[in-house]
Amino acid sequence: MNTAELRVTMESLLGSWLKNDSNRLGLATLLYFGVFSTVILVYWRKATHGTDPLPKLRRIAGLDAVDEAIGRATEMGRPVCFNPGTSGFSAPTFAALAVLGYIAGQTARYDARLLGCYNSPQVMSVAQSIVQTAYIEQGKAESFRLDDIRYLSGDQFGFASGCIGVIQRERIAAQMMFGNFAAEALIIAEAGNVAGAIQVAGQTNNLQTPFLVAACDYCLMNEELYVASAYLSKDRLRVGMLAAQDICRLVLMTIMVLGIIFESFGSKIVSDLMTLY
Amino acid sequence: MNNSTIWHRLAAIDSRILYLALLVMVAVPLLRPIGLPLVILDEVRDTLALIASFPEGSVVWLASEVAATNAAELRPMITAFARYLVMQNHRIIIGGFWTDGCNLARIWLDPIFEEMGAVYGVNYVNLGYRPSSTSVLDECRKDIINAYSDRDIAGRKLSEMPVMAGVTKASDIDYLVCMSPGTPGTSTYISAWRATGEVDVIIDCPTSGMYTTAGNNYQAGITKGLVGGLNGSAQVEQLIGYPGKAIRGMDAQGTGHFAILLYLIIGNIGYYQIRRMDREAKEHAGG
Amino acid sequence: MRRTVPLILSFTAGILMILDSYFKIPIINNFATDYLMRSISVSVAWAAGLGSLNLIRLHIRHISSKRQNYQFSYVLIGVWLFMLTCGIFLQGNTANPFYQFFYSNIQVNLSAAVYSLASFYLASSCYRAFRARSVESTVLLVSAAIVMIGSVPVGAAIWSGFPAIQGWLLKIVNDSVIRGWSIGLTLGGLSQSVRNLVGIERGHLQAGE
Repeated sequence: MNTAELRVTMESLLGSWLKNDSNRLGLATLLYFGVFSTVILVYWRKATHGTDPLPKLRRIAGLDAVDEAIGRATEMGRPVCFNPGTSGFSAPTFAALAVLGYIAGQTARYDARLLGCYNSPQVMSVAQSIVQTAYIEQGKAESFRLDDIRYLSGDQFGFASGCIGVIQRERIAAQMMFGNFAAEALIIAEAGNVAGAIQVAGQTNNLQTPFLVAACDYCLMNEELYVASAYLSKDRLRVGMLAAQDICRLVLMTIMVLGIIFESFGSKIVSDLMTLY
Repeated sequence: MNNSTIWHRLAAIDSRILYLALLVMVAVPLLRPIGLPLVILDEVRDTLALIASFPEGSVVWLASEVAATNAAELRPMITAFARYLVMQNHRIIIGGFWTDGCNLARIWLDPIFEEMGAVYGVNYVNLGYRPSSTSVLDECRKDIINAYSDRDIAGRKLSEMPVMAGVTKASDIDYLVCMSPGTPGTSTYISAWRATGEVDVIIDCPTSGMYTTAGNNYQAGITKGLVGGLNGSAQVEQLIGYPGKAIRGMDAQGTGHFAILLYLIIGNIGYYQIRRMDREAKEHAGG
Repeated sequence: MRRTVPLILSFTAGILMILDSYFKIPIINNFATDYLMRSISVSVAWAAGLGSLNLIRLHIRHISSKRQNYQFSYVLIGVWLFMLTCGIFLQGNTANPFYQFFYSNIQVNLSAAVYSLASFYLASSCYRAFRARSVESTVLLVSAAIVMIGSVPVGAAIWSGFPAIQGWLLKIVNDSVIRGWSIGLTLGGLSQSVRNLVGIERGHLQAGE
């Protein structure tokens, strides 16, 4: 049975609802999503109920440098500045806030001051809560300063100007740029350089990565930001999720390689199967 | 070891001198243009030909995703496209989800439209800014008039305008031209309207920073046209016969690139010279 | 309760949005458009007010405790009040010529000026930090130089091959790398989103998880 016949069979079985292109696309997407989620949930179960040792994570220099940067700031008696970028609530921002929890815990433990520069008021509110909770958990509730977690501007370059001002006035010793940055990335990073701060950047906008590689001491590449919370916390569940993510990536790579091979020999079977909807 | 060689002095040079040199190299061609010929890319030619292939009266959504910060690159681009769309006698709907986008379109394009003889409400309309691109574009798939509360940027009724005749939902739009400096941008319209089949033809006009990723979509056929950065704007200006700011700016961009190249070369030569001198000093000290 | 309710809400809203994006189920499509999407607009509008209040509160504290450079806080509060008044109370609101004058001649130009800093910072970064220390960085330097020269008329005037090599580097080498990069990023983002959706990732709700 070829793919055209398979499609006709599916339509006759599943009725007119599937005749709609949008619904077929939705079902195909849901299928891929279901497969992906199943792998994640399998590893979730293994991580929470199993006793097997965790997969080893390769060393990521940028994340190892976070503790070094906080230590440096503590020794110098100057603040650490956290900057989650300008994309509001998105996947990179959630990953950045997870890292913020770790950083806030460390700065509370070592009595270093933690500043925050925010472009989105919603993200700022969540960050205030995260940092305050971290300080309370470390028994340093009185050290928490609400004014250190500040909303600067919703405008991209108003925000960049505000960051430059904070960096230079407060004379920060370390800057953590985790999140999604646009054109203001280089401006903020270079201001940190001029102030002599050690800088660790982790962001997902591939257009800004070259600038941050040039301007920062450590730069996380590509989706290393998404593994940051697992890497720093060594939490069994989160590391298990990373393993699931890598399995899914391997499956996709296999499909791509098979597709390339089949297409090279003139067969469209793989591409037809992928666009069966 | 002698730390006062020319290379050590260059390595420690004040950044302000670098900035001043760059400023001079960029400013001089702006004041006295050199006028070097442009290389016209196939993708720019193909994009203009694609626009010309639509019949008169076709409806185009001109996504004015611009801000003051990217005005240097996108103002010449949107201006050139506005002229070209009027020349093709297409109906232009200006929308945008950057805060300043539609406002800047009004400031920049209204004089152009007046010059080209286009009439507001008949040949073009400016819908104005709305927050939350996702929800508005989603609603436009069903009802554009309702999505914008039947009001344009100045509060006039959209449903009474001839330019909106027969345009009730996104699928009534023939093609889309999107200025794309980031998000919201072309990717927003691709997921909202292209992936769902509302608008098949999207012409991407990214800034030079976004051009590298925009090429992916163009190669894959997701977008049907690509005109990128100041270079692209200059090519459009040349092709449509209305030279403007983009063509004048290309010389300055060229000298700016050369300045940065010079800094790269001098910086690396200095780095290797200092490294060589340090190595020789260590060998002398050791030997 | 403090963590459970947000998790339930975000899971429910997430599933509804996924179903709305991909399926034509009228009841879900209408609910998503009429309530969920509009709630985003409402929350964004409220957040803008919240951010402004936070900013003003911070600067009032600067003024009251006379911290260093507190005079600039007067300027910020004054400008904020001025533009807010113009935008809300003048006839035509933000279309009013008075508002437009200050917007076009101050805000627009200031934003462009700050953005232009990027080019100067790029120049100093290139001079200070871009070193051919290894084979990879040398390849990066050479290809960056060729792309820079090839993308301007001056490069084509020097040698007609520069634009061709630049085009090849961008279309063949760069596009394929960006494609792989984007697929990796999307998978990472998808994984992060699934973790947020099902409540595995709770860092944004409370630290120390």
